[in-house]
Amino acid sequence: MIKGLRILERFFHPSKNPLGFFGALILVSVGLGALLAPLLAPYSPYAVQTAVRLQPPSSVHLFGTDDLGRDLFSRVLFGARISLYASLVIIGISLTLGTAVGTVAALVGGWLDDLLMRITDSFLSFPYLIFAMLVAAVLGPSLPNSMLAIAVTWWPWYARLARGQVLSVKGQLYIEAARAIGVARSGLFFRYFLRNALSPLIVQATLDVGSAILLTSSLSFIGLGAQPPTPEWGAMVSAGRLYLMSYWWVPLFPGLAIFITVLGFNLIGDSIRDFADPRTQR
Amino acid sequence: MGAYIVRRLAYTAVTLWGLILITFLLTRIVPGDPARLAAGPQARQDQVEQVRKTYGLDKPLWVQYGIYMKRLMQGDFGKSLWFKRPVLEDLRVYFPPTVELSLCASILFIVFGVPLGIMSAVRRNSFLDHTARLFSLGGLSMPVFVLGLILQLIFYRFLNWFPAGGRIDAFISPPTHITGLYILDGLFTANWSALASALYHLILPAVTLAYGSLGVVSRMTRASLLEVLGEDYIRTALSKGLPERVVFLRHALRNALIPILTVTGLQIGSLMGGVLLVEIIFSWPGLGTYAYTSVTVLDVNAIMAVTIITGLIYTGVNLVVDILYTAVDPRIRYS
Repeated sequence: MIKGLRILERFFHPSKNPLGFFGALILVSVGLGALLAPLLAPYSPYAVQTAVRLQPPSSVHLFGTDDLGRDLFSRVLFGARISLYASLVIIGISLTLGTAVGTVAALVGGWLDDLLMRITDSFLSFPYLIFAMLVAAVLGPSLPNSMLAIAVTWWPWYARLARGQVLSVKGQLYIEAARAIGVARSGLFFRYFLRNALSPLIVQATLDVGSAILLTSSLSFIGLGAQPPTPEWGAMVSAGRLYLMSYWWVPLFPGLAIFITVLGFNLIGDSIRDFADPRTQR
Repeated sequence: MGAYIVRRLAYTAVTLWGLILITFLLTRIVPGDPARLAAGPQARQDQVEQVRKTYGLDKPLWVQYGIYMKRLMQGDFGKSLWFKRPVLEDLRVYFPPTVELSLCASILFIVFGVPLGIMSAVRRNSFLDHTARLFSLGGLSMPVFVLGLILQLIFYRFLNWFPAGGRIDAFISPPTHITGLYILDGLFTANWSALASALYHLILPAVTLAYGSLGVVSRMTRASLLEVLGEDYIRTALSKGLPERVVFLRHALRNALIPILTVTGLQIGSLMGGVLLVEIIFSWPGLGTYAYTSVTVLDVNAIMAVTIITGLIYTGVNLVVDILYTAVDPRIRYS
């Protein structure tokens, strides 16, 4: 416990790890913003007020208003909920699917391993945005469909990682020892295999949350994800694009919200990676 | 070495076939009706059936697949349901602008990304390193479509240094078609005004497209160099009195090269995704714009063609990288 606290303290110390500290600061703010959105937002994210269309940022409307007079600050706050929720669902689905495929491939081996890995490779041979766009278009434009589309393009990464992990765990001495002392097959699988093979996967999944937010907003930006009037950041940038030249704040604030949130995740992820890998410490 | 390449080629072929099959199945099981979309909202049912028949969409799935594969082997991507002409003709028009944009972005991210990573690794944990890392992470975190809008706002709206979109000024005629890349064609035909205008239009979209990959490549360069610099043989080399510069260039950089090469290849490949958003923002008349149109109208043949082409480029680049490995690291050849 004390040791854990010390690691945390070192990890988030502003002068020892300024970037990690900065990232933590961002994530805590975004998380609080999402959690407390109904309390913090001065207006409803959907409230149309045509009298105050396209107002520049001011003390009344912190981020200004959009073409329908909706308060952009409130919309960006509520957008944090959507982005965090979407990215967690995406990562959850792809992690589960990928782990299942990878584990089966590694444990069964033989032709099934070959088949599953070739399928995985085929999925990986698309640039993922193109593939996600294709699936989203096929399913029809909506936020849940775009989340599904991204998960479908994403699981192969985890499948590969899981397969590698299980294969390496499979050869470990403690598995052999557990089997030798007569641990039941199911116990062997869950207690020894999955637990040891999964931890790197979970770390990787945490690092991927930022990218999932990026992809979700990209699909919404193309019009294949969340549809207006949902206060999703990518959809807001897309709708606000028309006003860029005269009313720049309309697309800019939701855009910056994506950037800052993803940056927060990446800063934390980077610190974890640097911290966890003793080889990069000199 | 020969066997290694043959094996890689066989793998690539299987992967590509899988890619075609996945795309084919996806585009044929669409809940929307491509024939209805192609015929238009006002079309009568018999007209829709006519379209379905013309494009062979009424046949059983496996027959459609057989016909598609046979034609594909002859280099025929079928006819576009939307533009009503062979997809191949469309590709000839839309492909070169995308190549031009992606090549330019690739040059940018390699030329700036690798040195940035080296600098970061050499001066680890300095202020310079932190700044460079933050800048690289920014590239990973910035959605291309937001960066594009910000650059347009600054460099077009406020400073008016660069145009907001397009490939060339409206009053300048494009250079004579040789490669389809305006920069090269302008050079070859010594058409300086067209060349200047094309370059001028290329800068903002290329920078927008390059920034994300620049972040990835510089980070990989840093990480890979740091790992190598921690190896025993580097300490040995330094302690036997070799100059730091020699150790760095001959021992460290060379061994750090493989991951850098991999990531560079992957990034060139994945530009094919980002380019789509950049093209939409900068009204760049390329494959991304084409893909966007075909996806929204469910133009199955066009979607298939774009996916196959991008998949081909993606796997092609990775194949080249894998073969380059053997040149960089002889151990791979023999394993």
